[in-house]
Amino acid sequence: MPRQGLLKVASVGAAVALLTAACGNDEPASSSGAGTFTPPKIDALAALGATEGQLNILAWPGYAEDGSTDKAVDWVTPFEKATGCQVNVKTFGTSDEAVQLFRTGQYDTVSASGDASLRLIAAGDVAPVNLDLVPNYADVFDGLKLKPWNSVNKVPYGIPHGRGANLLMYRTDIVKPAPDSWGAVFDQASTYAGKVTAYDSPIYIADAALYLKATKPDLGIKDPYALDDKQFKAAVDLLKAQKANVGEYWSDYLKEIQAFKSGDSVVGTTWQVIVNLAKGEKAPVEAIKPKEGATGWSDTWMVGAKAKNPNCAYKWMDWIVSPETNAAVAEWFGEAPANAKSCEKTADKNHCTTFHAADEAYWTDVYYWNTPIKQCLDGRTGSTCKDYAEWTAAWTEIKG
Amino acid sequence: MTLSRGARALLTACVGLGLAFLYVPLVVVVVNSFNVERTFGWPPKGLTLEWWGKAIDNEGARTALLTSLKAGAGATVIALVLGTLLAFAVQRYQWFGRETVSLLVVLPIALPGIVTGVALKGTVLDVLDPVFGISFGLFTIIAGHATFCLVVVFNNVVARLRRTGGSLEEASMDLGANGVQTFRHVTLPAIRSAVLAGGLLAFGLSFDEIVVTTFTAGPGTQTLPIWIFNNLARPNQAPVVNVVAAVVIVLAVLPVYLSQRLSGGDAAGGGRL
Amino acid sequence: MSVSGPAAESAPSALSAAGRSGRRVRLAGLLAAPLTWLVVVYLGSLALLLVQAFWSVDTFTGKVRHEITTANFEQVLRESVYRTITVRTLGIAVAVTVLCVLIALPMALYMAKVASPRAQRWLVIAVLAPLWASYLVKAYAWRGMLANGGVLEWLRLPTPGFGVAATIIVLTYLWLPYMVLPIYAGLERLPNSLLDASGDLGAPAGRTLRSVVLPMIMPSVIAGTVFTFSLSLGDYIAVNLVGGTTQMLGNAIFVNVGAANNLPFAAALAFVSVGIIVVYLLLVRRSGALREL
Repeated sequence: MPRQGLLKVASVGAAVALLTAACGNDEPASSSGAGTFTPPKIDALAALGATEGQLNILAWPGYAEDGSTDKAVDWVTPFEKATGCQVNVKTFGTSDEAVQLFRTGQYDTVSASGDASLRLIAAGDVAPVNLDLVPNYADVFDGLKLKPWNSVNKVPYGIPHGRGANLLMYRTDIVKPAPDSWGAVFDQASTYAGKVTAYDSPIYIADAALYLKATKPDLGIKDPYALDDKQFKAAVDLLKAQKANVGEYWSDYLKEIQAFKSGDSVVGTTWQVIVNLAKGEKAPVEAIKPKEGATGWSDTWMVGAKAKNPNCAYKWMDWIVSPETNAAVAEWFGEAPANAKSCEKTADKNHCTTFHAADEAYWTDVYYWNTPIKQCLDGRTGSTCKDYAEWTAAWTEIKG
Repeated sequence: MTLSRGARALLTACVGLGLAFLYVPLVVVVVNSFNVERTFGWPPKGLTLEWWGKAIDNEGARTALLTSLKAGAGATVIALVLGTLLAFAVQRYQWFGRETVSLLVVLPIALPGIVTGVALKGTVLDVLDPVFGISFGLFTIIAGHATFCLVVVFNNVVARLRRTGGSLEEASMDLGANGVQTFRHVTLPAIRSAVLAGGLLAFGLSFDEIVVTTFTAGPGTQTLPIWIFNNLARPNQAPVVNVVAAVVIVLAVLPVYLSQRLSGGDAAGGGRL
Repeated sequence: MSVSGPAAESAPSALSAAGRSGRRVRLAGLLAAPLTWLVVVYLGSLALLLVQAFWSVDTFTGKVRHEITTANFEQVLRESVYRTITVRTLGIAVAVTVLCVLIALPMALYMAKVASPRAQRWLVIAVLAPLWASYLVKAYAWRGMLANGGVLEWLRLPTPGFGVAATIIVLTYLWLPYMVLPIYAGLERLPNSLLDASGDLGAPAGRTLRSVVLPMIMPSVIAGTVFTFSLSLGDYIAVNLVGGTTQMLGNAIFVNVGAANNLPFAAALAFVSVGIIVVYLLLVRRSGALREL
């Protein structure tokens, strides 16, 4: 395919020829089967070699703390001391940013949520992970191993980081009675017109689909990431109706905390870490997982297919999922750890209970972020589903 | 021009309001740097010097500041050289395409930063990196900044050249000096202050630039605006950002004052900034 | 780039021919470096971006397909949301420009014609200094000011909350110095004798301002508008902070570069904004405004 393109394009000019020479020549992923695809053939690292002395990490804020946020919160410096890999961390606000940044090839490892991981795998940006090189993987909860968002055809593509649900946060003094349903931001959103907030990413469409799954069962939505034309349109319409009541969409912590503190937002989706910080700022907020369930995320540390520092990357993945570090991260960020042994290491002995780390029943109605693709993720063969590009185009349309 | 007392009073009021409009947010920034709350609740429930202490210790801020200074210096030097060369070419010679080039020079600053940023990023990713091995980093930042700093220097020098005219140079040549001597003893002193003023303004432009820099910086390089961008979103760091900003505001008066002294009566340095 | 000598030559003597070609060599020397930079680096990058606008992205892998297609431009033109966004952005840019002019004119007039020379210098410094304060920090400060319980409410001033009005206010705030300075420069260059003459001929101050001053500083005003207009057209950061749910052209471009990883589409959108600016620049070129930038 690249060669045909080259022929067509050669007539447009020298600059273009340079460009096509510069672009990658990887085979694109081919699609096959319902809910799955064949990723490009890339080999996992066979054995660990000497560490390279440097590591470029692309991470969610709060995942790779080096003491600059809070002197006591630091698991990067000990890593640097133990392995000699000097760490550079870049943070991002949404999975979309993550994919785009990681594609530049400047990072060795990324903490990818499910709505980023499949895209990276399909495009050949990440390599499969050799689990033998990550000793701490053995202690990871089974509920996180070889899942649809971190593996393809039983080939693992990353190390689970932890998991969390997208909660509904509300101002306890303004939103009364306390809500128990996502209806607070959908059907009843007009009660708080202008003060509703939502996550600023196309993946939020899944939250609307989740609500419709419970409230409009005749639409037949089974997986909020597998939406055919009719289901997708219903979700988009719901979100367009919601937009009229939204004050602002958020993608960075401070914006949401400020908004809840000042009362510019009074109800909307959030992450536990934001709730913790907001409460720390004395904002009167609470957060719940509504009765319809919630979307969630289970992040995966992945290693770049063309990583410049793969050995340091593997050392990092083993480090971040080691009991002590995983416990520290889980407590700081406010999520359930991936490593079962971390539960003994958390400062708050109840942490794992609070976050349902070992409670698999809790996670049954949490729909982890996944990448919508044309082959319906719920296994349907008769219909095609909307893929992420269409979700993104729709998101611009929803915001208007 | 004689204006009635009423008109003068009105104008004075306008200036007062205008300056208030400009400075109230800056005062808010400074006050917030002492704010006890990390999310800048207003009015501040308490004042503290904690953030100032943290800012002084903050290595990230220091490194970013240094990077910004280096990037600014690099971009300014390139802009000075290229801008002055071009100014001479445009002002002292007649040639086909002169008007087009004048328009072209303005483009980097007239087009939205995001367009310039995305375009330059594409060039680095698709051409510079694979072909020349030049990856994102300080060099690409400097290159990006120099492109739009050019016009600032260019305009300053053109304005000055227009005022001084070529007759002095011709006289110098008539008196027997060669090109180099003329340049050193006649031309350079005449344009020196314009060049310096342009340079200072270019430095200022580069120092606060965020949009183009976002696209041309790499993972390890942080200029001050990038550092601010990365840290404003983190509640524990945001107050420190305010401190840094407050310091920059106060320190900024110096280069601004200098540039004013240098450009003398050259009408605010010829325009932007 | 061809070079023509200052005068048509009929029978050039060897000396003048040498002089002219010497001039040409010097000119070429002067132009070589800057033009290489501008044309190769800058225009080249823009051209690359334009070419990308004619490509597309494989929706599954996200990799760019190097086949020429006008699908991106068609999508921009066909889908109403992009028309809405463009019109909204234009509207905001125009509003910001008009506001900036209205605020800057009296300020510049005072600075140029009423203030004493020492006061002038300090006023210019006072107007320039805020430009050194970080754009982001200023935008965040405004966010706090406009918020519920923020500074504006505290001062008993009406606050529009987050939205289009807030975006216009903040953008006006951010670009005001870029408008004040060219106008001030233009006014300063206006010889007082002209104004005195107008007064001597019997015109009151208002008439002088309208018929003498305004026409003469129009190029400077337009120069200022080039900045406020283009800066507003491409902004995506300030609007994200204070605009509530408002989307501008810059946001759409940014989202497609990042979120959607659809660089070809972002390029198509980018060229919508480039088109608007270039048209504007060509329109104002005749007024001589570009020399005042």
